[in-house]
Amino acid sequence: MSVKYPLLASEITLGTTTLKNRIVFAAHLTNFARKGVPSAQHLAYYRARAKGGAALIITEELSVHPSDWPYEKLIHAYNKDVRIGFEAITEAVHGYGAKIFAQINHNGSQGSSLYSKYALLAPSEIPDPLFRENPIPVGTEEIHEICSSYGFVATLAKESGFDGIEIQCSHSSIVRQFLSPLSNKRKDGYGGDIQGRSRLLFEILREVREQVGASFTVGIRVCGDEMLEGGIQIKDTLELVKVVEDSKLVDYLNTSIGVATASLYCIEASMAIAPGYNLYIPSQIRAATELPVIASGRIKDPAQAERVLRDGQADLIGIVRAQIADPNFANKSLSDHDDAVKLCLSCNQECVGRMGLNRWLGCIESPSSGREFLKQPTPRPMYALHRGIYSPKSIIDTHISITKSQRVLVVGAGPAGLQSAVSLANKGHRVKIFEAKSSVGGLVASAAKVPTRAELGDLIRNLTREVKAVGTVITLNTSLDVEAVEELGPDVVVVASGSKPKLPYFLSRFNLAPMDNELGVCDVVMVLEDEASPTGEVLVLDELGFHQGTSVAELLAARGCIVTVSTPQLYVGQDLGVTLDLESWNLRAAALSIEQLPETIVTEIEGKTVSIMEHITSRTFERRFDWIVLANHREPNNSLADELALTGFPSTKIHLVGDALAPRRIHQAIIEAERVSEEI
Amino acid sequence: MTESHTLTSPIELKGLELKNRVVMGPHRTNLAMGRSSTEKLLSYYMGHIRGGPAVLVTESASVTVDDWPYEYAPLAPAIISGWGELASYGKRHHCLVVASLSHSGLEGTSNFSQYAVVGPSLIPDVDSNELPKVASKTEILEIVEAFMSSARLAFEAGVQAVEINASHRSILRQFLSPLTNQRLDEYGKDPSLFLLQVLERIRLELPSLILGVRLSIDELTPWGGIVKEASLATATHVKPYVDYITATTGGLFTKSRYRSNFRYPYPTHVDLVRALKETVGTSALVVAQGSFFDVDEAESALSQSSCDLVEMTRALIADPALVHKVQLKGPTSFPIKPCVGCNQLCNPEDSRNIAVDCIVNPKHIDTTTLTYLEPRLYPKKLSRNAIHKVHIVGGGVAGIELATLLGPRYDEVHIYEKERSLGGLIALFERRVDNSRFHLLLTYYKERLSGIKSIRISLEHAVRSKDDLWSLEEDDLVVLATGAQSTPLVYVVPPPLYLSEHTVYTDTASYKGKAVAILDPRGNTESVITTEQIAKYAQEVYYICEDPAFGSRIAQTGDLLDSIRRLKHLGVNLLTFTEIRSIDPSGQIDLKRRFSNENRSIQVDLVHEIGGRVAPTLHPFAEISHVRIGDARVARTIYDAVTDARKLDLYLLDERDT
Repeated sequence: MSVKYPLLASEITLGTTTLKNRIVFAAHLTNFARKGVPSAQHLAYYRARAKGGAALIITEELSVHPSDWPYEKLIHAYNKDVRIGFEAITEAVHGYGAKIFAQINHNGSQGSSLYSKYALLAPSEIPDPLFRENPIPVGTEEIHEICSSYGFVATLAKESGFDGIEIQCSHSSIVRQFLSPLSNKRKDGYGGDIQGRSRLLFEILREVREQVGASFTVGIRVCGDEMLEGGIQIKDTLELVKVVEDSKLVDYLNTSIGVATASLYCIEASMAIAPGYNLYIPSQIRAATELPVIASGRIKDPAQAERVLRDGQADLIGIVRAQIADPNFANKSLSDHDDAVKLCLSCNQECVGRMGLNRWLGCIESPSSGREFLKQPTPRPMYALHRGIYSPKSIIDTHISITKSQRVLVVGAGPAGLQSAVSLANKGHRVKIFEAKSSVGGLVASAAKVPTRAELGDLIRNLTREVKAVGTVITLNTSLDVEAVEELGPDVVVVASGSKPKLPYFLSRFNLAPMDNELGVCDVVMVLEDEASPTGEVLVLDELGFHQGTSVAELLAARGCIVTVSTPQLYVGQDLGVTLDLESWNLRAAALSIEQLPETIVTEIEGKTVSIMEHITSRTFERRFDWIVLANHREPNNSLADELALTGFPSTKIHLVGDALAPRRIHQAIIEAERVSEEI
Repeated sequence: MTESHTLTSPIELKGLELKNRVVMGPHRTNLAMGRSSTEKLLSYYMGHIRGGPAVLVTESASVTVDDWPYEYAPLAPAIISGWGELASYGKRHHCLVVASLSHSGLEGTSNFSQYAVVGPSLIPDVDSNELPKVASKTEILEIVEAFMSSARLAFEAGVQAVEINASHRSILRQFLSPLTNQRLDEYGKDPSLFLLQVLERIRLELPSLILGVRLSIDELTPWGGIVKEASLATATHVKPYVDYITATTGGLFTKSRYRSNFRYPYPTHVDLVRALKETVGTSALVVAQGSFFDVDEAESALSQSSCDLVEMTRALIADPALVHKVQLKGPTSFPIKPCVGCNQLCNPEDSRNIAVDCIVNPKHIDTTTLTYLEPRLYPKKLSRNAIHKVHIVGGGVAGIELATLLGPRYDEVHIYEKERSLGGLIALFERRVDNSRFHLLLTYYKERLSGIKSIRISLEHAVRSKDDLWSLEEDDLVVLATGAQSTPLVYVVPPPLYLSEHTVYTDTASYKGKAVAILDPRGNTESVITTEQIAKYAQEVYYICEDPAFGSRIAQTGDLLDSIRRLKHLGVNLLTFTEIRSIDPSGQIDLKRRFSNENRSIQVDLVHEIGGRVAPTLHPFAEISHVRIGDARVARTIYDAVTDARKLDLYLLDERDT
């Protein structure tokens, strides 16, 4: 029993379903489905969270009707082929004392005809801002068909062993489209006031109740605030909630904020937005109803969750990303070992970020998340152990692991080095880490110095704790040359020494302490590591389009610089959209008066005068700046590997990981580091 | 070289007679799965084999497992047995099946393999921006071996020919190009070394295999890429090893020029191909690639001896029976359905994994769900077996496509069109677009319709009631294909300000010299075409969208940067990332930059909304029609209009068969 988090650890009953604690693994897309049916990937994924102590799992949306196919890997629950998978999943989850609900849905106009080859269905002929297809306003016949399809899937869920169902009425759903005055312009009995707009919801609820009976748990997920002008606001939802409660058709209320397409950035807020940003929704709903209420939205540690319960803002906590990062979040938290939780960074890079890209759900810091179904969860081609040719033999090789304890030297204590050390030590190798600098964390530690990027630093906190737990010693302030390595006499060397800055052709040198008439030149890392302190008018040259340039621009503007960001891409922060950071960065950039120059390249620099060209039109203009800050590709810092190989150290015993192989993002560094332990 | 050839004349390739000069080239289909072949993929290719090309080159397969450029990218060792099956099917139809082998190098992704991509130097792909690891000599030799072992697997599986990709998305091209190869070792000094090692290795090991190479002969970036002289030198080096060379264009910065859209003069590089042919002489055949949309262009390339074979991939996707139709010769009632060069669906190079498709020839329609999905579309009162006569109200693309499908099966098929000519929206805009090929589609329909005896076309014949139909009888099928009405749909525009789509294309005087705001909630091809049209006549054009950049949905067409360039040259004010706060009847529009407090107002005379079309809600005639198709059902695209017609056809056929 938890001493620290007694409320989070306490039981609660939703309808007829008693839950062992208050931690819910709420519905979220995974892209695990294959050909419309749940896969072994789903099974292993949900089982891991049930085993990890979550009280309730709510599945990703199960689509009720063939007219609904917004993205490729959707579960088509109207198809009876899904049943075998559902039965396997519910049985596995029940095996760990957890309960499981099925979320059922029809996406309406928030869909695509590209997969189904059929026109979309919606309350009114208004295209969704993301999918942009004109839908067909549904007639009475189609409404009846949709209602009965909800009933059919609810029955199927009940028969497949689910403990309840949740009807999606928020994010992306035809029910929300009916509820919202923005998308429902109907003149018939399904439009107009809240009674008309909620008519579809109640017809669905009555149909579902008729099929599954009064003793099966049924909940709805309501949208508290669409965050769109003229859309659903909390007062509308409170009104709806009262009617829902009076109808006695529903056992619990799940809550949400935003719309999956137009205001997606509010739904799964990144680290730039404060935790609990949307608690005003569940708390007001809870005050207005006796029904149990689930809160969710970037609640990533048990202390936050406990506080929400203690303050009476909700009865249960939806914790998704934190349980993706650490499947054992619940058990660790409720046994008061929450210091051991692999804390979610809210970076959105490999979970949320992959959904729109049609890739399987993963996690930046936990390579096995989403890949629990593989015997070897570390990322590797599913076909073979090594690069080269596929053969049945190499599949067998994959599962044979003959490990002799080796002495491994890890050079560099950035994420790649730390992760290598942890995975190698876990395999029984004897590992030593050497770091040239006075602190660990590499570029990630530097990046986390920007206030809106601070939680990136949780990666280093997590890894440092794991390194300590396996007993590996980190020696700081020690740069290793070949002789030093030879002296240490390792069997294997992991070169994780990161990257170094690179100058573009139009610059000849970095200038960290410019004279008055000189242009200061540095890169973003030098700013973050306080090697350079740009002042005055600063041009950030961003060829990466991710957080490097935009976060430093923000930092410098906050320090009083007049900042301009130039990028050859079509707009500044082209990759920020994937992690849902584009909107909030633009808000902050506007407040800090950061100027944006998209579609531009620098052609020449003369003193402080910079020639800039709009590359699409070839229009050139000149501007004066005091500093140029580069956010560009770096080059690997791996000369140690080459030098070692020259001394005759076997090249198969030298492993390059992370930026030392090729400077890229965190996830690549982590998976390469994880893989090292299997290649030795 | 004075000898003249035609598309249908045979030619010898390494002792094998090819029955004609038409090649179906390699292209991404998204039909493979688990990196291996599927029934769908094989049946797609078998359909194309039956259509009559002499050569079919398969979708490129990766030679190593860590090269996994897109989710459904084939892997050579996994898919070869499928290609073997296809090869034996090809033999029965006298079609040579060629297995394309490739390695994407830095133009791949680590997304699926979870391995770092590999490239000649530390230069990232412009689209993914993912930095590659620099290939070591050992890694290069491993890739050479992988090409070799994949070729051997193909040969052992009964595939007679292999094509090595050194063009679009290929590590071999990346080594050939100074844009990507900045190495200082022997692979930098001799950029063709890697390719030669691959070809030599395969040639020596498998002398009887037909070996081809696909070469980018111009990266169209003269300031740094592969240029003519270099590619002719490469051709001289490779000719001892290969039986044919396919000449393509495009490179790192010009991927879209590998299969240019209709805006580029086609075929794109005949002169270069001729130079290549002269260099290669008779030691290898030369295949021309690059926007051979039409038979005439292909014939002229052959007759001028610029090349020996012609790749007509997109033309074959638009009409798989192209070769058979050419063989019929002369004017026939079976004209070729033309590729319009739009690149909208045949080039599915994005993460959605949409299967290869064509806006004028929709594929992959699932017949099992025809009635289940759209109960209103096929009312139960329709008695399919009793139909002898069909009335199609509206002669746009939905209506005329339907007429070509139903015509041969029914006694009488009437088309009623209120305008003076057929074609609907396409007829409206096509002549306004530079290099547009849509008129060819209308020509196709006219020829096809005139060849079907049962079809009766009534032009300038508006249908207001059932009395306007020719002798309507009880069991007649009545189809409403009247298109949509032009009206703002997403934004509230005061009516006097509204510039309708019809006016944009038919009455340019009405907005000449005026200030026009274009509101774009779509970001698609129509956005480009309509904005250009308005900008040609209006004095001041404000293009306004909420997207962070223009044309968010057109990357696949290869026209994104080009269209932005054209619009900027036309002086269009591109107000992106911009919300519309209000539109006053006086023409004042209040704008706000998204996620900021930056506001501005503009003053205009007229306002147009891109894609502002709605299906007619109350058609005086609706109660007696059985079916609505195309925009009359709901305003969508040409593809949807043709698909609606196909589905109705299949539905009617379905009943007859059972």
